[in-house]
Amino acid sequence: MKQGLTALIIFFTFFFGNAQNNSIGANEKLVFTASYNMSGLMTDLAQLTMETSEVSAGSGTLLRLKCRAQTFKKWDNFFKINDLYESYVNKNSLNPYLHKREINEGGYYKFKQYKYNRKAGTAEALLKKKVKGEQDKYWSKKENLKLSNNTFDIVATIYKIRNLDIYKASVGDSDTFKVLFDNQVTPVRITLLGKESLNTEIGMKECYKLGISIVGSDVLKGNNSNLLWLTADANKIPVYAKFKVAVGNGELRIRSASGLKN
Amino acid sequence: MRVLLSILALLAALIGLILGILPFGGIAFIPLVIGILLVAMAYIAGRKTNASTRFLKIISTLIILGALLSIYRSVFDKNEVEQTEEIIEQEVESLEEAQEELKDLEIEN
Repeated sequence: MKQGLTALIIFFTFFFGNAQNNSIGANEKLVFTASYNMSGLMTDLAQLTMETSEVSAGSGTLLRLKCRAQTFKKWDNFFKINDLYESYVNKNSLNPYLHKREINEGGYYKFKQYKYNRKAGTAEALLKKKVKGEQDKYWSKKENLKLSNNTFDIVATIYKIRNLDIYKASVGDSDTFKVLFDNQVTPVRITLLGKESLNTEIGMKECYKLGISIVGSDVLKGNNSNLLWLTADANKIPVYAKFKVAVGNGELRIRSASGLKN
Repeated sequence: MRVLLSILALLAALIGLILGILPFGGIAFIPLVIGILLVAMAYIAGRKTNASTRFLKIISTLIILGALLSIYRSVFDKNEVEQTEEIIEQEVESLEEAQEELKDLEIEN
């Protein structure tokens, strides 16, 4: 029984950790509108852009996964958000080597970086913040984190989910991903809830409907209130997402998609 | 009663006007509609005593102004992000720093 379980764990680790990339192209660009529920009305607040590109690094070429979130110009005078999330990953396995997160939100600045060492099972974490009261001065802190091989940052995880062979799964099947965020590893469960056709700005799309929950936490509220729709084709692009957290609820809608692999 | 309704209508009109100026879009219509209803109620309450409607007319003007501003913003305010040289430079710099961090990397197949 123990050997069987070990074999199963190795299988899933191998499967998830080293699945070939069949979904993510090298010049893909997805643009989304992020909206937040204010007094019962969904108000468009920001744009999220997810882009990929090939970059030379080390002994070869990596895939750069770049996600930028910016408030629309009309909101900038009230609360300006300009966040950049990046992961530099293996083109074939989508395993990350480096993750960077730079956030600028209403004057608050934070930079976070993880440099993975898969062989050693560690990641070097770097945190950088502004010195209080000083405009251009920063302080930084480094620490070493111990990680299992199938722990990834949030950007790499999103692209890994897109690379899953969802067509093989049945409704109700779920998978748990270990997501590294702010030096904490959080288990996130993705459950296949079914298939739905959605009318989007890029046309009518048949989609996989996925439920997202955080194991052992109520950060994401409600039962099946946090949902993600991926196109049910080889690209599996996210076209719609709904989320519900303590401070409210919102949604993400696709506006355009280009440079798709398939 | 009429005075209270008028004050509440004025408050609603001002909130609607402020929300109309700010980019809150359709949310401004919530206090504006409430304001219109309160104006109507204040007018009906004042009819019996032949009270002056000048104040209510001023409030109505504010409500119409707020509504026009909201409609204008909804039609003409585009959902656009700022694309500055600063942002492009940030991304180029970030890439260069990443390449520097990864210069000794042996990429697995």
